Amino acid sequence: MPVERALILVLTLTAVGVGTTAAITRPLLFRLGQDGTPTASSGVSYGGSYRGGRWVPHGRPSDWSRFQGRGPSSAK
Amino acid sequence: MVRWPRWCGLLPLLPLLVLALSALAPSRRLAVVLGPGQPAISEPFRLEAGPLGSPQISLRADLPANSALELALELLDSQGAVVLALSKQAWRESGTWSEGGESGTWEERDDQADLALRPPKSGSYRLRLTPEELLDSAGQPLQTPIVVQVEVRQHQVDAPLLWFTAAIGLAMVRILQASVYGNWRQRRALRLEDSRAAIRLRAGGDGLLRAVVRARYERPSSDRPPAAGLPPVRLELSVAGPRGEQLLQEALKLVPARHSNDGDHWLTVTQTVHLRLPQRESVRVQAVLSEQLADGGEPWAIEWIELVLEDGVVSPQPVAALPLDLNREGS
Repeated sequence: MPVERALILVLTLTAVGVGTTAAITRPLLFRLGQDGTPTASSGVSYGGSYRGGRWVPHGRPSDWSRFQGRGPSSAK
Repeated sequence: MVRWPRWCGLLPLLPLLVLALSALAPSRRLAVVLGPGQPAISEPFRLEAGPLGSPQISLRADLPANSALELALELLDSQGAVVLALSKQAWRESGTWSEGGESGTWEERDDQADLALRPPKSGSYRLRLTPEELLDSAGQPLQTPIVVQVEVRQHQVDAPLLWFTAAIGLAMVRILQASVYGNWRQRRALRLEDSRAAIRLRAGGDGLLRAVVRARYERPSSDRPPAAGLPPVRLELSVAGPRGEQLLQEALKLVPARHSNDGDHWLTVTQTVHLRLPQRESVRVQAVLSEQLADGGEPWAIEWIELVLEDGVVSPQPVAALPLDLNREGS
């Protein structure tokens, strides 16, 4: 078999093998106990994070989303 | 004939097979009813550790129309300790629209959350759900109970990565197959406004010599479509050796394909023949087609003939190859 065909075959087998294995084992997926939090989807916020293998809740974040203020008319 | 590149076409199916098997993994469905401001704890469910995929928890809140919910969620382990806490801002809004005399209804929602994670070890877990705020579109609290549908699936895989892997694998397999099946040593083509074409070339050795004959017929002046009793086209294919000795003489009958477009009618024929030459030698391949076809009206006249020769062809499936005996002398 010519070298270039063997190279393409090896690359094809490697790409399919690595991609399929990574999709099954999911090495980058968050594991409970590792530092940080999982990836947040839409509208999700985490109430803490892992530090040193322990879940550490943080205080409820200030929710400014509904703050509407008094508008520029209040400025004197 | 070389088959292994063809079998490589199955490689991109591997990630898709994994995806299908993952979809068949069992799931557990739970429904948690939340009263106004009241936390509720789900039934226990298992989260499986291990390298084969990961658990995925999907939540969907059945919200009343035009409402918003802030839902606090805590994942509890078998000892009741919080191992994850999050909040989800869910909402559902609907209304009517009218434009240009037409009208209808619309609805938008963000009431789902998916949580993919890997537990350190397999075990029993529960969810504690607390509806922290349920408001209507005017910002007023609602006292409606909310049902949260929970689905826990095990062995979930990275579906986008599998689709990407299948696409990349398919592209690379196509390149591999093209490098084997489309890689002839030489290719010669000749197209003439005639009924015969001949090419001399040095061919033979590994692989086959493929001869493709194509032609087109038209009525010179009439636009009459072909009759039902259209006769076959006669193809005489001959191969001569280096000194002009006849190595092959084949006569074939080809059924013409009928074409028409916008009142114009024409006929085409295509024939592929594979030849096997045990050693490299100078050969002359000639194709002669019927000049005319008579079907009762004005005869069809050949417009052009095309002869294509490809040397060193490797086929993915068995083909009937005509052997050329170079030791025949003066026949």
